Amino acid sequence: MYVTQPLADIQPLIVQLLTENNGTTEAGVRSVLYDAMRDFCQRSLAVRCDDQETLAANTSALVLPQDGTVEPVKVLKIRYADGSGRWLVPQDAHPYVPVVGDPRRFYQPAPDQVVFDGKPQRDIPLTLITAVKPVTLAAQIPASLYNEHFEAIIAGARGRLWTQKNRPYSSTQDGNVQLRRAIAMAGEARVRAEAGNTTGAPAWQYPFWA
Amino acid sequence: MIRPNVILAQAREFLQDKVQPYRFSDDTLLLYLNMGLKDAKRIRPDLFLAIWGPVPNVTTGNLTTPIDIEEQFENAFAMFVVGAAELAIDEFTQDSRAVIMSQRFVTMLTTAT
Repeated sequence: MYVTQPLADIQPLIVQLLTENNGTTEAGVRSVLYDAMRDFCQRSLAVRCDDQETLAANTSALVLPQDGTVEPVKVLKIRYADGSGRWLVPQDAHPYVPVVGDPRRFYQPAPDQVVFDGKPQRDIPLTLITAVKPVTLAAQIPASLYNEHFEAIIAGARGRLWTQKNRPYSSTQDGNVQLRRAIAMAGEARVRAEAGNTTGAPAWQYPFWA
Repeated sequence: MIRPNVILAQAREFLQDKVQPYRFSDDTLLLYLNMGLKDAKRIRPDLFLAIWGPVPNVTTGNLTTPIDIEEQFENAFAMFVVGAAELAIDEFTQDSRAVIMSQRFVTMLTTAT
């Protein structure tokens, strides 16, 4: 279950796009806005939340929840939540047949699935630091997405609107400029997020066995 | 939302057909309105996002039922009905107005002004 996080209403974003673009419809604006937000979240992995899960005994896989507001994009880190603070190591290929014992590595065959290299003999509480994206047409979005990445979302939505053909607001060249801006801002957000949104301190730590 | 009864009232105003017995019956004007709805779906399918599916068919029985298309486009449908009604009139002085009204419908859906 995702740790409860502040949520924001997207109505101000919709109003801004409606007032900027003559002849748009609210349903059309809402659709491109959600496309822009989901694309931004997938590219940047900047919207993250903690997901508290339990790996049941004798199982080696988890299916991540979709809670009506957000759905998972990628699990970035997993930590034991049993007080040991151990981290699991992400793998980029399917591990193999899981052995009996506490898992040390994990792999994601799909955004909402996690596979471990061990089958524990007890229930293990885990904290998954997960990059998420808004569910399509959810009533609210994570407040951090609205507060910190407003410009990127608006640029992505503008680009998608302006590149539509035969509309009062069509402007293909300007639309492509906005789309490039949105992609660039997603890249910047990714770099900042991977640095832990810090300016100097190291954003990594030694694995638990080192 | 657009209101078919309001669209017909606006069209009658342009057609100067407000006194009964009407030159254009409600059924005739509704036929033109339904044609306009289908044309609008061809030109601007995004107008119908909220009511995706078959194009609504307006009859005298549901004249007062609003259709979930944004009200900023209500005048465009009135223009279409007026243009279609004037195309049906075989008088030279009406033909250019009919063309103007029909073009106005398309312009209101596809350009900013």
